[in-house]
Amino acid sequence: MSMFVLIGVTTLTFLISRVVVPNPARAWIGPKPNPDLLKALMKKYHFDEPIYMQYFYYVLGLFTGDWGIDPYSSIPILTEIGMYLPVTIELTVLSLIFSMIIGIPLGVLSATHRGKAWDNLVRLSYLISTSIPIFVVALVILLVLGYWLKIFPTSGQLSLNVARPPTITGLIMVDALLTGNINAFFDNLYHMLLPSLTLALSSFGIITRLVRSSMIEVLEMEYIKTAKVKGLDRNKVFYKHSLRNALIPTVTMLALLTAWFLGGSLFIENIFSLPGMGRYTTQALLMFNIPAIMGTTFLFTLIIVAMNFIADVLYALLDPRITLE
Amino acid sequence: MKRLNLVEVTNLTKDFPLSRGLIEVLSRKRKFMRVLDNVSFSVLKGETLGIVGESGSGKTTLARILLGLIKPNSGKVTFMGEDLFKLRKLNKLEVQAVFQDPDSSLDPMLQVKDIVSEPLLNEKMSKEEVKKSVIEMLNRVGLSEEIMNRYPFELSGGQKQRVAIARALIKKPKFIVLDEPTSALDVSIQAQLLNLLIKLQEEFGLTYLFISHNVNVVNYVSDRVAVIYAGQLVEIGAVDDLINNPLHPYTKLLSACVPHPNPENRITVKDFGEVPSLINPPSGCRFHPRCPYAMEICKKISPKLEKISETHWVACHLFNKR
Amino acid sequence: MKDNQKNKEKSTKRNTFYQRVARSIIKDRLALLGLFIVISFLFISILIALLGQYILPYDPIKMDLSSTLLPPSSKHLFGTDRYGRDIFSRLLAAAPTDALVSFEVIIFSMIIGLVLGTLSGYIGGAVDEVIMRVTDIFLSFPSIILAIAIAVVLGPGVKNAAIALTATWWPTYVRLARAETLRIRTLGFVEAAKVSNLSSYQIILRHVIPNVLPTMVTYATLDLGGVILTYAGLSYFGLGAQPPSPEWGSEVFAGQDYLVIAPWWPIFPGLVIAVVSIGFALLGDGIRDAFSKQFVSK
Repeated sequence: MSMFVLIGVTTLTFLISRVVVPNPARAWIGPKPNPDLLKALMKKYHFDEPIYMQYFYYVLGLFTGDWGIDPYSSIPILTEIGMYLPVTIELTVLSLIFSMIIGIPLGVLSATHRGKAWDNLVRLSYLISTSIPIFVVALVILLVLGYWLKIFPTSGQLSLNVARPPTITGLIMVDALLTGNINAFFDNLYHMLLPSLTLALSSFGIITRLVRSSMIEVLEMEYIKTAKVKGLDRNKVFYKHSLRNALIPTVTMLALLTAWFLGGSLFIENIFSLPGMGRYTTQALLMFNIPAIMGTTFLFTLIIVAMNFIADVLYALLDPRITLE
Repeated sequence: MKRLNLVEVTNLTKDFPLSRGLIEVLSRKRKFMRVLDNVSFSVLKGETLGIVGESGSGKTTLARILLGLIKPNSGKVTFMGEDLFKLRKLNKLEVQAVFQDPDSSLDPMLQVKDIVSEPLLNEKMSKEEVKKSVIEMLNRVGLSEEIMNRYPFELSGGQKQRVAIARALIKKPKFIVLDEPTSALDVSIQAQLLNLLIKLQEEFGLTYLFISHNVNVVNYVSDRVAVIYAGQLVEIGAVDDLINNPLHPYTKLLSACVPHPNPENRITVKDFGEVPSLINPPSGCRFHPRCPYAMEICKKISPKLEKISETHWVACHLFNKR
Repeated sequence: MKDNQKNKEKSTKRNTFYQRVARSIIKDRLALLGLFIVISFLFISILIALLGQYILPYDPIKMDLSSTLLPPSSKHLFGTDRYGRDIFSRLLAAAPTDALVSFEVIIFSMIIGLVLGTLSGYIGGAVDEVIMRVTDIFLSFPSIILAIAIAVVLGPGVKNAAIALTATWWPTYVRLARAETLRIRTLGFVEAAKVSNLSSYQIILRHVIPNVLPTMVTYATLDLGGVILTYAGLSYFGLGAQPPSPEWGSEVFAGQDYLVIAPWWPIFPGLVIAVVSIGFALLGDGIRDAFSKQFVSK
């Protein structure tokens, strides 16, 4: 299934890109090509060969790390992605944590107070949160917390007076921890707080809704009732049985949440001036940067396929009935 | 005296694959459930053959095979001498059906006139002709033509089933499979409908295959009755034979379960144990775990249908010895 | 006699079912609020589309450099932008486009969904496999990125944005139609049609599609808000109607640089998108709730 998605997406992007730009080499080096350079490029990227061979080399390139060259900066796409991806990873992981912090308790609250005021309030809150465009949430949060109350920084990854820790993984927070630079760690976290909170605010409903329904299902299951009858401590029963079971559906939503965050990063990274994949993608799209668009599409698909796999593994770990074959 | 065989069923066997887990897929082991096991019988022209059995005995599967909706794994069904599954167009065979649940057998989005006229859809008939035969059919099944423009949800259960019968009759078929046509209805309406079916059979010269779990109902309408247990035919005979002289222990059991006026004294088939699993059916005679007369041989060898009289056949070791 | 009596009982039962659904929506104040918002939005869209500039307080396109970046006041309800244009008028003027785009996207997605979903569900086999795998690809990818990518390839504009949205929207409808088809194909009336020797094509047209349609239409009505939300995302990146034509999303984008000096410029358009989309969500939730309540109490 995941292989099929990967093959499908690469084929699709390849075909579309060739329809849009029949001769990529020409597009890569601008309107007045140096004939020798053009020839060299054509040869290097096999554009002088039939289309199926081009596709073969394209797929081969994808797996051997040659994703093409950015025609605007002349930097290999993969190198550029290496520069932009860490910010988005930080953003996504933080957003995931925040949306779980907001989403799971609300889901539990809603399930245990089913049909009562709390339940309705929670329902209303996620209904509203998923209905407001993410860029509107971002702007309002930025305006109120950033500009009016001045509690949070409004853009960038680090304060001007904080030096960026040496690049080891590219993730500033991890690098800061590895080099023992606690100051940079917290400064970066502080900067990432508003963007990731925005993403979490517009996506916690996905988690809440799922936790709510699976909690209700679990609460109605016999063994919870029996456990209660057996006189086991109510809270203990509750957390041991229900919460674990409620986490399972959340895990299955991992890929969907990631897709949601990646889509949201397009807006968030532009509004909060973060140099991540979202901004890279929008720039690539708006500048018609075909190699970059193909690269990011493939990367996003890869991430989502990977997330699906991780979800399967976690699912097997959480659910005692399922074992990985 | 000897009547023509309209439908002939020989050695019909049907397996349903079971849903498989990952391990089975990988090891390419497919588990099957044998829903019908080597069933043979024939239906005489103009008669009603009743098929009686508990739920899960394979009677509905039998109906669906006879209607050409699913194919058997092995065995043959012939209709007027022609192989059912070799003919591309089923309607040449003039087979129709009335199903159990009138709520699902009538399309809720269509008006009665469109439902009833559906079998004529591929016929070259003018609108007036179609309308005329719809009205005629509605009248024949005891409905007024005012009902033509109604939707199924505006009808009662009995009316719905009458519409379904009208649909089955409109193309003047020869053979109608009635799959529990009355079991979804109230008892009073059941009787009306059964009498209607009998009346229509005479008027149109129809042959019925009447399937039901209810022995009384089957005995009421049928000329001959076949008893089916866990996918196997255990007894077949004229209705008098089966009422007055049931031979197979299972048939006796079914007859004993005919409702007693006092519900306290009512015996149900369930009192004699559960229907066996078709995934791992009992060895030998499938009835032996529930049979009061079970012998050693019953566990080992599956009995064959034996002729008792000109009209009466049974598959049981008790009668096999002769 | 008896039949008639039962018939009456049944039809009154049915009446009260829908009456109860309607009553439960009316009792649900939030759903009612949603209904009010949705009706107002559609009403305003139609009114503006028909009467246009005659009823707008100001010309939405003409610049007036004497009144730039004015804060909200009784004269300019939502303030003015950098070119002195009345933001309220611009937002009103953009309403028909949003309504039209969302209807187009939903209708085309429904058509694609009905055709592919019923084929996939009814015929099954290889056809089903291929169609399902293709929807898998679409559904696993972030839809907003896909929509933006397609819109970029096609070039900016309302028509292309609608095409791009449809291209990302249809898979859900295929899934929905397929699921319904799988349910319907096991029902007695389909078997009866097979016995009556109707072809698969005839059964799909006569029985499957009419029975899939009600579910589809209900879902689609509630889905309009989602299209409006995503279309706002496209127009935020300038892929909707082109300037100087007003557009809700692009208004936010244009105004976001003025967030500190003139917060009304980006915020009010954003709120309008939010209110309309919340309206659809509230109504949809109310309808779903009312239906499920009725089924439970049955």
